[in-house]
Amino acid sequence: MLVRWCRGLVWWVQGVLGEDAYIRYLDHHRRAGHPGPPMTEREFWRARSDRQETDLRGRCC
Amino acid sequence: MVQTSGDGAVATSDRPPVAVDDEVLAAERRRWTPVRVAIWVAIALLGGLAWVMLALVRGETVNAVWFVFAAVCTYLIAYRFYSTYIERRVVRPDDRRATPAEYKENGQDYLPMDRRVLYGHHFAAIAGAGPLVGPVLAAQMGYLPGTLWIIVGVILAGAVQDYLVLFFSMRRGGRSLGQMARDELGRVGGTAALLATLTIMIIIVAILALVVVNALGESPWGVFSVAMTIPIALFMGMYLRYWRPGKVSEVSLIGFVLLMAAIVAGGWVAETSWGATLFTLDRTTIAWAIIIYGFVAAVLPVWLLLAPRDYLSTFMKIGTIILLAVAIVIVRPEIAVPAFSEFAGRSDGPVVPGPLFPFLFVTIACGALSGFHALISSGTTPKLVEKERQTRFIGYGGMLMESFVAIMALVAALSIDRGIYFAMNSSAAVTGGTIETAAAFVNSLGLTGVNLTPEMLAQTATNVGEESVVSRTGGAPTLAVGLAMIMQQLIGGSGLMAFWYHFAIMFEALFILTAVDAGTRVARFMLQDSLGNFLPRFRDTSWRAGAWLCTAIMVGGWGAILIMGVTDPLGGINTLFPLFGIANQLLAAIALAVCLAIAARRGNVGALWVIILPLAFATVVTVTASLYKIFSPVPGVGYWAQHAAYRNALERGETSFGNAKNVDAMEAVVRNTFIQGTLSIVFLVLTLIVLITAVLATLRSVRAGGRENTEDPEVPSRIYAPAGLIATPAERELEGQWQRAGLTTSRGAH
Repeated sequence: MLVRWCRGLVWWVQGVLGEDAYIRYLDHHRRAGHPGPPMTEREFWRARSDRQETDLRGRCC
Repeated sequence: MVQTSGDGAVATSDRPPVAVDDEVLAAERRRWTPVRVAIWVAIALLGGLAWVMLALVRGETVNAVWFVFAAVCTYLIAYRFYSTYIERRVVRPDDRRATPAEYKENGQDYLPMDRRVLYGHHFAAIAGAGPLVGPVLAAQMGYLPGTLWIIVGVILAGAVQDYLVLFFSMRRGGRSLGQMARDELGRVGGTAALLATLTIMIIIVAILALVVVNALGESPWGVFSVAMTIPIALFMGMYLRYWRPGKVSEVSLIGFVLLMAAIVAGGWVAETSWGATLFTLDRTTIAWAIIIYGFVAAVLPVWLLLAPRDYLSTFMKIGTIILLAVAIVIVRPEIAVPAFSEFAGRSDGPVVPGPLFPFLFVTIACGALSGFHALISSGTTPKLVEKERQTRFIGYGGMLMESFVAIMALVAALSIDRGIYFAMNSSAAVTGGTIETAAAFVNSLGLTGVNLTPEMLAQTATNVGEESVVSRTGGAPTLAVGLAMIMQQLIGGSGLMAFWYHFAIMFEALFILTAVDAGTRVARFMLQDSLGNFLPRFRDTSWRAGAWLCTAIMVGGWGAILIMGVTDPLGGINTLFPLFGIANQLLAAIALAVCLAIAARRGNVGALWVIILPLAFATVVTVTASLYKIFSPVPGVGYWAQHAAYRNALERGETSFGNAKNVDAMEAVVRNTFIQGTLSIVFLVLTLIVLITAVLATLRSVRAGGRENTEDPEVPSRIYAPAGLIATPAERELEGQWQRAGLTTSRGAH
C-alpha cells in the first residue's frame, strides 16, 4: 500500500514537472502512425526547449 | 490515460462508450445514501462551527485551525453543489466530444494529460506570489473581512471565472482570451481588451518586482541567496541541455539542495565584513539590477535560465505549500488580531489607505478573484485537457486550492504580533525608519492590546537575521516572519528562525522572478503581434532586432514604474498596491464579460446570473476603487488630490510638504501621482469599453434567443477518463471496461 502511494506520488511529481514528456511523445508517435522513426531522447528535449522560445507557458502572479 | 491501440482505423463502435450516460450521472448525483448524507452533514456542521468561531465568538484569541476548517468545508460544499450547478446549467460539457488535446494531438503542446497531473500543472501555473501578498496587507482591517472575501469571493467569482474561461477556450481549440474577446466583442471591444491586458501586465510585473526589491533592500543575506538562484538555474539549464536531457526531477532535486545551501551560506556571508559590504544594497540599486536582469533573462534562450528556474519554482511551490498546511494544522497558532480592527471602519490605514469597501476587494485579488488566471486558463491548460467534464475539477478546483494558499498566507500574517505587523508594513515616511520612531508611531495609532517596544523590533530583527524589520513593506517579509514563527515550532526551534525567514523570502523571490521574465516574454509576444498589424515584420518572432526592441519597450514600461515605486517619498508599495489589485480585477471583469457574451450566445438566459453576479461585483468594486483613486479629495486616497496638494505647495514656494522633506521629493510626488492617476483613468476607460461592448453583444444574443456559436466544429471523442479526482462507481465501471479492452494503461504503468 505504502509503496503504491509513493510510486503514485513520484508519478505525479514527474508528471507535473513534465519529466514524462518524452515517453508521452513516443506513445503519441506510435499511435499516430507517423512515418519515420521518432526523435531520439536528446533530439526531443532539444526540440522541446527550442519550441518554448516562441510558445511560452504562462506564469501567473 | 493513454491509449495503446496503435490502429487508427478502429471504429468508435468497436470501443467501450466514451462517456458515462447523462442519466446515470444524474442518478448518481441524486442517490443520497445514509453514509453520504452523514458525510455532508458532518462537513456542513464542522464548517458552520468554524464560521461561528471566527465570526461570532469573541474571545481573546482565535485558533488558526478554525480558518482551515471554515475554508476547507466551504470549498467542499461549493465544489459539490455550486460548481455542479454551473456545470449543468451554464457549461454543459459533453464527454462524447473530443477535446483539442485529442483532435489536435501533436505529441507536444496538444496532448491529453492525466487530470490529476494537469491539476498540479495548472495550479503551479496560476499560483505565485499574488495570493501570498494581498492577504498580508489586508490583515490591517482585522481577520474577518479578508477571510470572508477570500472564501466567498473564490466560490462565487474567482473559481467561476477560471472554470468558464478554461471551458470556453477549450471549446475553441485553446484560443487565448484576447482572441476570444475579438471574436465575441468585435474590433473595438477586442482592441480595448488587448490594450488593457498589455498595460495591466506591465503594472503587475512592476509591482511584483517592487515586492522583491522591498524584501531585499539592505538585506545582505537575502540578496546573496536570491542572487545565487541565477548561477544555480544556469547550472541546471546546462545540465539538462548537455549532460542529462529530460532528467527533470533529478535536476530539480539537485537545484533544491543547492538552493538550501545558498540560504545557509547567505547567513555566513552576511556576517563577514566583505559579504556585508558587497551585498548590502539600497533599494534603487536592487531595482536597477532587476531591470537589467529582466531584460537579459527575456532575451536569453529559454532553456538556459527560464525553464530550469521554472522547474525549481514548481518544485518549491508545491513542497512549501504542503509543508505550510501541515505546520498550521500541527502547530495551531493562536491569533490575537481582532475580527475587525480599528481600521476596518476608517480610510486612513497605514498599510493600504482607503475604506474597506472597495479597497479590501482590490487588495486581495489573487486568492479570491484574479483576472490574470484568465490568461493561463485560456491558451495553455485547455490544450491538455483529456475530457470535457474534467474542466470543473481543473478550473474550479484549481482555483479553490489557490484560495486555500491565500488563507494560509493570511493565517501566517495574523500569527505575528500586531505591533510588529504595523511597524513592518507602514511606510518609512511615517515610521521614520528606526526602531524607536517606529515603536512610537505604532503606539500612537491607539490599537487595543498593542504596546510595542523598540526592543521587540530589535529582537525580531535579530531572530530573523536582519539588520532591521522596520518598514519592510510589500507583504513578503511579514509573511516570511509569520511563516518562520510557525515553522520553527515544527522544525528547528528559534535557532532556525532566521533560516526559515530567508527560506520564505527566497521562495517568494523565486516565484516573482519567474513571473517577471515569463510576464516580460508574454507581453513582448503580445506587443509583437499587435505591432505586426501595422508592420508585418514584427510577427516574425525569430527576428532578433524586433524581439529585442519589443522586450526593451516592455522592460522599460515596468522598469519605469518600479523605479517610481522604489523612490516614491510616500512609500511606493502602499500607494501602488491598490493599482495592482484594480488592474487584476479589471482583467477579471474583462474575462467575465467575454464569458457572459459567450454564454449568452448559447441561449441559456436563466443561468446567466452565475456570471452576472461576479461580473457586476467586480465592476462595481473596480470602478468605485478607480473613481476613488481619480476623484477622492482625500490626498491619502486620491492620486489627483495628492498631485494637486503637492503641486500647490510647490507653487507656494514651500520646501517641504507632508511626508516629502525637500523639493526633489515633492516634485517626485507630483510626477508619480500624475502617472498613477493617468494609469487609473486608462484602465477604467478601456474596461468600460470592453464591458459596454460585451453587454451589447449579450443583449443581441438574448434578443435573438441565442446565436450561432464561435466554437470549433464538433469531433467525436475516442478516449475515456473519469471527470473528478475520485472516480464515481459508474466511472470506475467504465474505466474498467476500457482497461479490459486493453485500450488504456493504468496510472504509473509508463
